[in-house]
Amino acid sequence: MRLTLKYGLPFITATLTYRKKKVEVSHVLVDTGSARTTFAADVVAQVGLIPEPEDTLLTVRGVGGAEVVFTRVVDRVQAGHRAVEQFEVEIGGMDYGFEVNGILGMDFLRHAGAIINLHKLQLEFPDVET
Amino acid sequence: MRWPNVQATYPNQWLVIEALEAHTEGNRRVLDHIAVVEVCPDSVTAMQTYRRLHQQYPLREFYFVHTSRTHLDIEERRWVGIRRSDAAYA
Repeated sequence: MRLTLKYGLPFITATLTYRKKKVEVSHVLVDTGSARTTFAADVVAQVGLIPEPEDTLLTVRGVGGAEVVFTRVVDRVQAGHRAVEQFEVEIGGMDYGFEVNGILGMDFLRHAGAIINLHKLQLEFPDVET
Repeated sequence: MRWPNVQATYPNQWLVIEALEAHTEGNRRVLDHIAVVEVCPDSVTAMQTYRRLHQQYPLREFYFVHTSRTHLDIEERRWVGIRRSDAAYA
């Protein structure tokens, strides 16, 4: 699938399924610099994914301070024709001051066997798992 | 307050709390001294309130929590963040 460059960064549209409800998530950053995959709270709230009392809380600290997120296992995360089932994602405010509704991190990219082709600006997945 | 005191004072409640004193043990963030900032009717409001306060006071340490949690058990992770460019060629 096509990688769209914005702010000098590669974005795609992904699909998240939670409790059998599906939501299309635009402006998802493909980010090998992030270990984990994150989605914006406002977007996943559309499929009823909201904080629950016993969620695991994480504080992600780095340049510019810290952000608190919670984690949840979702039914599936899909990019192009490749889906990863029963996948744990982080949910955060993602109030970074520009349009980003998710980050596909190394956990998803590695699991999906993604090939980031910056020559063709495509996010590719080999047809056969190797 | 410490977490058990917060739980006793605000049973079964979504809150936004602030860590007045905290430290890190391995990959755990331990809150030693807690102030309750806001009592919220539900989890969505608690998270939205957290986001608003976090943006307004980025150096303060807020959390959205439900008092039914036995332990706060907050995991800490490092992330360098997203560095974007606003250059026209991008």
